[in-house]
Amino acid sequence: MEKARISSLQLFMLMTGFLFGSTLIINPIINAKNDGWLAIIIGGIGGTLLLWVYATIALLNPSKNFVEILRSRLGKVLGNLLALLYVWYFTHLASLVFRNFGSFITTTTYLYTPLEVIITIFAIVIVYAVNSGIEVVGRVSELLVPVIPVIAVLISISLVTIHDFTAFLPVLENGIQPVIKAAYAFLTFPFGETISFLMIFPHLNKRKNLRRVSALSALSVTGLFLFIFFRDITALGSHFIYQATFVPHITSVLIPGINLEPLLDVNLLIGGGIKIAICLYAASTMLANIIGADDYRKFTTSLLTFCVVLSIWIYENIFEMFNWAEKVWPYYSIPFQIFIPLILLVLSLIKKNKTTLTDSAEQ
Amino acid sequence: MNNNMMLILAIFIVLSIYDVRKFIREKESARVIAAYAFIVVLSLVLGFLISIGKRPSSPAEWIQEILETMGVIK
Repeated sequence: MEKARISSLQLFMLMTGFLFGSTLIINPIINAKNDGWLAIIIGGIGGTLLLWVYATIALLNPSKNFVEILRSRLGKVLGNLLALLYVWYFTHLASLVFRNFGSFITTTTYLYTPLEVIITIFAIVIVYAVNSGIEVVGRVSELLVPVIPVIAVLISISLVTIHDFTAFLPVLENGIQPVIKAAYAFLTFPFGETISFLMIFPHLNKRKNLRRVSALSALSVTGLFLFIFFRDITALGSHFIYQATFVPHITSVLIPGINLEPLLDVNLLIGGGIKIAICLYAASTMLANIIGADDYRKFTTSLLTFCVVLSIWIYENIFEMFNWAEKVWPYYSIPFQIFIPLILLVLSLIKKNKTTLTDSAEQ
Repeated sequence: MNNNMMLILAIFIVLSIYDVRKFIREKESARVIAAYAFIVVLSLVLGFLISIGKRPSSPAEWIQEILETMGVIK
């Protein structure tokens, strides 16, 4: 395993950037309409709990990465098989984020640039970052992630003259069901995707901070999304938010006399870049572990090539992308984000209790 | 034919050749080379099919069909 070390602050920044990722593009809470804020709060609390589960799994298996945890709890054959499935899952996730960004940029900013070119340029920068090591990605996130809330606040301040504070009323007009559905979508996208951090957690220098850092980043991102949701709904109104394809883009072009749209692109590129880098790092380290290679860098280029091709192959058009993210992704993710981690948590707790009982019997 | 896609495949072929040279120099194990070659060749074949307009049905469609068959989604 790579002997890199990251600080608690770097982990916090990496998680925050990852959670911000492409969430604003796909907007999983959109179906809750003006009750989206409730979905964000419920999903955020659920997401914090889910991150707590992942952090607990890591703490119960000290200095083991995800592949080693899977092998030690489920046996070598089943462990390797599930690890291979996770390699697919992280590669797939990275390619979805590539596609989200490619579609966003070619629809809003670079209208005449081909999707493939945007994705490839983005990919080459990311593979360079991943090959430089997780410490470098951590340091870059320390520098860039603080820009995300600054830009969000800057856009909000610029919109201060355009608002309707009654836009999120009446509360629960369509009942609780759409809110629960949207909260679940928000839980699986982005919180459940942090399962990839089980390959990063062993690099944390102060492991006792793991749960606190995870919970803090989940709560910070929930707060940031609430802030952005209130900004967008008071500026656009609930009906327009539901109709718009890229809500933050529409909000940023409303600002009179100044074009802040490139800042929004920067924001999304920071989050997306970190998310893809983490997914690629997790997939390549897992594959290197399964095969028994000494260095994950041997697989970064090959997996990135596959990610780029998959991102172009996966959807025929942008509508298919939104439809899939809304209808299929939350259910497809259940085994990867909830079932397998819960099984690992239970098995790790049983193992810990057995060890404690054996130790006390010996004494 | 999608020329952009062909150009991008050419870029990735160059990057892969650079990796293969390193593998040969460091006498890498057969397992690593086999896994690497499998992923790269699969990607290049898929990329080529997409560039000539013969896009096979995507994993997104397979996953959706599997979930529909299981009755998880309608």
